[in-house]
Amino acid sequence: MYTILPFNFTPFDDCLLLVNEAGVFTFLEQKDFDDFIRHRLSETSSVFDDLESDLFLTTGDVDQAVRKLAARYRSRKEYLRDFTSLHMMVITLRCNQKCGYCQVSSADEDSIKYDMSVETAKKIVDFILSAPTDFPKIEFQGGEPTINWPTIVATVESAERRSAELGKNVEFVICSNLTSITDEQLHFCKDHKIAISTSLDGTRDIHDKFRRTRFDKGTYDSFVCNFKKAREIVGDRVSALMTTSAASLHKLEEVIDEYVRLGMDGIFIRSLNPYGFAVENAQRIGYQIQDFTKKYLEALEYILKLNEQRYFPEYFATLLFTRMLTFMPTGFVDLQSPSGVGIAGAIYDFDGSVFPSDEARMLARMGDRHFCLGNVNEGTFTDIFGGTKLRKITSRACVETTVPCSWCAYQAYCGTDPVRNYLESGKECRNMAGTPFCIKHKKIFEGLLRILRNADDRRKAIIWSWIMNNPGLAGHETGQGNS
Amino acid sequence: MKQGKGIPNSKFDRIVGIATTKPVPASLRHKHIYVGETAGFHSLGYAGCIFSGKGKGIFQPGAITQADISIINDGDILILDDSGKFDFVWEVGSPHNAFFLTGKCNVSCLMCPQPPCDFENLAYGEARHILKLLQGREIADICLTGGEPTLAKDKFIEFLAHCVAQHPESYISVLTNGQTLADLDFVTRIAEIATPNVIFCVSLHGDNPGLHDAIVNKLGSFEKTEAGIYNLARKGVKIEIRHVITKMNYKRLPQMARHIYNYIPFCNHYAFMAMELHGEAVKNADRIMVNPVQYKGNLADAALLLERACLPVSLYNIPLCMSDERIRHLARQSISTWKNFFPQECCSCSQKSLCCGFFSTSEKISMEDIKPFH
Repeated sequence: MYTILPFNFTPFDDCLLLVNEAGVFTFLEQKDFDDFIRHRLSETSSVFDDLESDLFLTTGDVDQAVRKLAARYRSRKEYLRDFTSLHMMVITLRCNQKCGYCQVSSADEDSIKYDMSVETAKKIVDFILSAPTDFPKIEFQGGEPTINWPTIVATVESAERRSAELGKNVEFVICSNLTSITDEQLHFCKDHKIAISTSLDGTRDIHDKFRRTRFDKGTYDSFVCNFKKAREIVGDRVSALMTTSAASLHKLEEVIDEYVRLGMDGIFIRSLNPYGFAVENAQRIGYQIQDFTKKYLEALEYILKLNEQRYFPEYFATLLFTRMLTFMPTGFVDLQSPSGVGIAGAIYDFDGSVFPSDEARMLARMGDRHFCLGNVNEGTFTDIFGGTKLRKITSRACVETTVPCSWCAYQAYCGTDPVRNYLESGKECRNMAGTPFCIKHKKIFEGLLRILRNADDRRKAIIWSWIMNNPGLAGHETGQGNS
Repeated sequence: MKQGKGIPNSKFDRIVGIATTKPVPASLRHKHIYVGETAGFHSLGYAGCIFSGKGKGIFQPGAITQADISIINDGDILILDDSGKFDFVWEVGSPHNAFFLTGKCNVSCLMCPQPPCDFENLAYGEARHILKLLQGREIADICLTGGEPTLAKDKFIEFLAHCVAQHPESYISVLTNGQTLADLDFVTRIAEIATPNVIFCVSLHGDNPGLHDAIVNKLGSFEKTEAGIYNLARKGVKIEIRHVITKMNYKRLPQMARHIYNYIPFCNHYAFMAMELHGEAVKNADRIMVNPVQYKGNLADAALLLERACLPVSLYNIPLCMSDERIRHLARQSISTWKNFFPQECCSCSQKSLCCGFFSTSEKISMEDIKPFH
């Protein structure tokens, strides 16, 4: 007699998909599944051996089986130990651009009152360095953060000095549209090992559709010019992100080609977040989430084929493949359980207010300070991050314990976002069935698992080359990898 | 183990000593075995002697005569037996020296090249003796094996402690089936003495209990062995997994790799090993004999999964021409020098110097599968 170990399942194409608590998945034919759950599966069949090998069942001591599952489970959740390592600072709300789908409600370029002061920035640095992590990452956001350059310089210098005293390793990222960045600023980035994360939506047509200056001019040309310069000066610590809009949804292959042409290391095909300006312009720039997942999976197929010639990962698929195939911890603020808001990343507004995520801050801009955790001028790190507010938010943001996620077959790969839930429904925790968030991720999980199920060895090699960030595994030159 | 043979000069108890062809001061002769042409005054005072000639002198201790002494190097440690045999229990310069701590075993693997026998008490004592003779030498590798070397728990720990203390420079590998390691207290004691130079090489022959237990011929083994692996990991002792490929498990090689990756990915090394057709293996050949060519594809799938996932994996005992080209770089020259053999077919092969070759001890080698590289 055997004991069935915990797993979730769902019909999948011509069979059933089973995923256990530790994220190991397998496919079973209906007949075998029925036999399995009715305890009448033949103990001498290879299906039985497979299920026992993968720990969907055990003929031995259940504690022993749980010990193995627990080891993998612990390892996958290891990112939780690194409490709040990503700290985003809103250096200014001012921006030189006014993009069609901007999330952050940019203020006019001359509204100085929306700049973060050097004093506030220094307080934030002390705050960040009192977090338990030894590897804090400070991300400068905006608006366009480079517009308030003195605060960036002061923050970097103060953080470097303080972290050296404390024996911590601090990393910096500037999120910039690059259109007004100067050589001097780029050299500062180089000297202080600051990474640059910028935005490129695709070809000139696509990019200029929504990424426009406040005077309604396209930004593609100045972007490309400065991107090349940034690469020359700062090196490969310069990367770009794209946002899929109605203008690019049907042209993702062109976007990918453009990324390859400009020498990007890979691409992250991101769907639009329906916040900020985006909601008002939803008709013009948005799309149905079902259309996005369909196009995403087509684009992914295109990228996988491209990888037969060169190493070029798609980063969202890389993240999810890592969750499906490995025991490695994959923290990803937007999709983890417990939710990463506050405990993986936090954002400091220009006035020192602390929010668990960028969307929570935007919500406050719209007048609802529901998620405000406090202000660096008023509380200590422990008050704000150890307080009841964040505890409450986090404890209710676990897919393992919320309905119907707790029995979803994809639970082990998924996550939740209480801020987004609140924005969409007024509640942090809600029934996710049928929400765009759920539809998007389910369809993508399905698509990726179908790819894995049908993958030949060539494709397996490509997928592993992405997971391990090692072009050599797919037979490409190792020099191509990201540093 | 390498062996020599001659004619005993008398009845004597087993003699352990260091071979020497050069004269040794009288005070040290009791540790040495004199190796030379004939007996005489020059061969007095030694623990034992091996002569190439007939040399039946008077007052000689136990000696073996008419032996091929060209196979003996100064510094080799030998055990002389009054049947006329002498065993090379330690070969100078060989990376494959091992201490056989016991002949007993708590499983009975169908492919065991070295069937268990009952010489436990003798073995621990002789091992201690040999270790003492090695005092002062710089040794790269020490292997503790059996039988199941951990079986006499206290004696094993004592011996391991002596090895670690006397040879902190050596890499010490313990070849075990892992059964005794299911006892966490025992592993805790091991962890107290095991340095980072000590590695436990645990045999795991299947990805599920039915398969592993059938191969080692004992119910409940799989669970104990995996518990042992987890105990070692928990206590921070280094681990290698050894998987011997037989007719019974080769079809599940990909599942084995998947099981390893999913549930025991924390080991320091993983070895897939072709079997040696010797001892028990010969008796069970019908059930277990398989040729590397038959599992070429399965082994490639298994090894590639682990390699891609960044787990350190090696192939032992698999000749290069019998392995898939995608995993040839993982093949190691793993066969002990004394039983390593290359058939005629290999003479023209350009890869011979990189290949593990074959076991001279194997009863059967399928020559038609040898495809020399040019």
